[in-house]
Amino acid sequence: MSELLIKTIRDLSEGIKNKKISSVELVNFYLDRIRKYDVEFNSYLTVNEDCMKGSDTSKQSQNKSLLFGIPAGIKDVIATKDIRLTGGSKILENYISPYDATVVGKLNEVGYVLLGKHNCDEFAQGSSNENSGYGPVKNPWDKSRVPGGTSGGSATAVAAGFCHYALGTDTGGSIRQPASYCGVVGLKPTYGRVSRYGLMSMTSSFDQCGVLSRRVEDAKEVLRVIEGEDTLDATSAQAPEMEDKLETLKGVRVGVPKEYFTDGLNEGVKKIIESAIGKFEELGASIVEVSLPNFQYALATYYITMFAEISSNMARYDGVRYGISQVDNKGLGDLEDLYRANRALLGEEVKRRIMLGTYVLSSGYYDAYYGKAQQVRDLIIGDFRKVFDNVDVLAGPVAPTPAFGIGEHLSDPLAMYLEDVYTVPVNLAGLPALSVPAGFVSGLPVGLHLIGKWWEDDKLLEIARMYEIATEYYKQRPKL
Amino acid sequence: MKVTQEEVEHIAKLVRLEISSEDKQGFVKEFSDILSYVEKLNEIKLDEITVRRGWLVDPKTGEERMNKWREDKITKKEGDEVRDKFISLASDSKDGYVKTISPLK
Repeated sequence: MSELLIKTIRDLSEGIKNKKISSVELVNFYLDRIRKYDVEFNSYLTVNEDCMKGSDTSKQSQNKSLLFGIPAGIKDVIATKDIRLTGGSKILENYISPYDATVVGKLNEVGYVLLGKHNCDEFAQGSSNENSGYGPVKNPWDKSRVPGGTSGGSATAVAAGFCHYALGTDTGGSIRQPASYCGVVGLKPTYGRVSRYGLMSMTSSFDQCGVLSRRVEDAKEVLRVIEGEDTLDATSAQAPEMEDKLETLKGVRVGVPKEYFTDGLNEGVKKIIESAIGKFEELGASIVEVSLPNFQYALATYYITMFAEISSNMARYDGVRYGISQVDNKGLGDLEDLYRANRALLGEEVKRRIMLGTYVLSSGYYDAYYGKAQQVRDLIIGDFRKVFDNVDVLAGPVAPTPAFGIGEHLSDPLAMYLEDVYTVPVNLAGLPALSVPAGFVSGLPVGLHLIGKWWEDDKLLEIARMYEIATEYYKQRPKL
Repeated sequence: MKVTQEEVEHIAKLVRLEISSEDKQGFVKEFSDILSYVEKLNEIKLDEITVRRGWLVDPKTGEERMNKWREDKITKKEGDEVRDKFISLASDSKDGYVKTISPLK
């Protein structure tokens, strides 16, 4: 059965239609693996054991979607009706979502199967999954290392074969960086392409829901289902119809931003990315060196904006309308005391960011920090607009290193933030981008970062698919 | 930017967070480090602040687009059971309202 792990959604869907395999068998295959191995990896916070209850397998032949009957996992910051939704936080340990996120509603319509909810950094804040209130997730290639974050549970679950694909969220690299560390595909779509309704808000002007999968074409099939304008998300828009499959990379222009190859990039990672770019050339693409002059300011711009938006988005977690509450504690004097007592359950990184955000937005500092960051954000977007006049995609590393050790960066928040240096410019600009497996450094996977032009997610995916089928790194699976 | 312990205490009060004295020490140092890093942006000299929304790109024109607003009106009337479900998530409730402790001592 383990050959199932390199099959595409299209292959499995064919199998279901021709009755070679049933959805029940697929679900049991994955549930068995979760039961057997996930105790060690901690990638699921909630396993949906009843997922086949009430499903009508006789409908199989009528449902045309490729996703019908294919088992998925969902990051636990995305709302699924009547199932626990923790956000990776202790403050929501008892919270049962009363509604579905728009993306989940769309998956329900096509008859997907939900295996469970994936562990993540608390409210999607972190770069290693170590900020989860429910313990860290382990990397399936080396259990002493992090899977990356914040969609670390999803990346581990997809890599280790605990689901066929997963929905994650990417605010500053939270899909792409764990995908790179775990050797899977991670797609962050164009901002606005996928509705954010029902995602726990972190940084509303960066957040985007996307896909983690083992194959590039699977990410495309899932995107096809979850995308679309939504009246419940004022920033969403209708994407243009996806173009057909690309047959060749001849004529494709790949831009290589020189700023992505400076100090701080691990030598092993650098070699892999250079050889991936060589592969593109071999496949007929033309390689163009480009420059993003304001790249050096992207991380600071990202962090100021993110802190600011977090400080307002986190205000809702007060334990009054939902979540764990100390309301029965007779020692509390007034509502302010209750807020403080309830919010004590928030983790250290969340507290740090709320406070930094409040600081950068405070009177006297607003213009110098937040206002300035918004201006620089505009300059960075301008850099991308210029380079995309001449290229189809940009290629570079996803992260400066392969997966690091659990605990390695915990005592130094700034060092942890530097992990995001190559991924955050994409979120500042709202561009589509992905990580596709590109090789290994000392047995640890490394992803190639491909960045597309606004709304050209389809072209980006096709270019990545051509690279994937020419290199076949997806065939290498971790030994659990 | 050097952040002081008083500033950390003041912000903690504003955001209703209880910070232990041990964490306070840590935050003073970390905040100073992080803010010094982000002050890199001061290297760029720019005119007056204008905030654009360049990350919101129109799929048809490729130009900047704005949020799409809709009227804030009830489009679907949910039954009492939906209301009850939301109210039941609160730690305490009475007669269909969320109940909490007094805002005044």
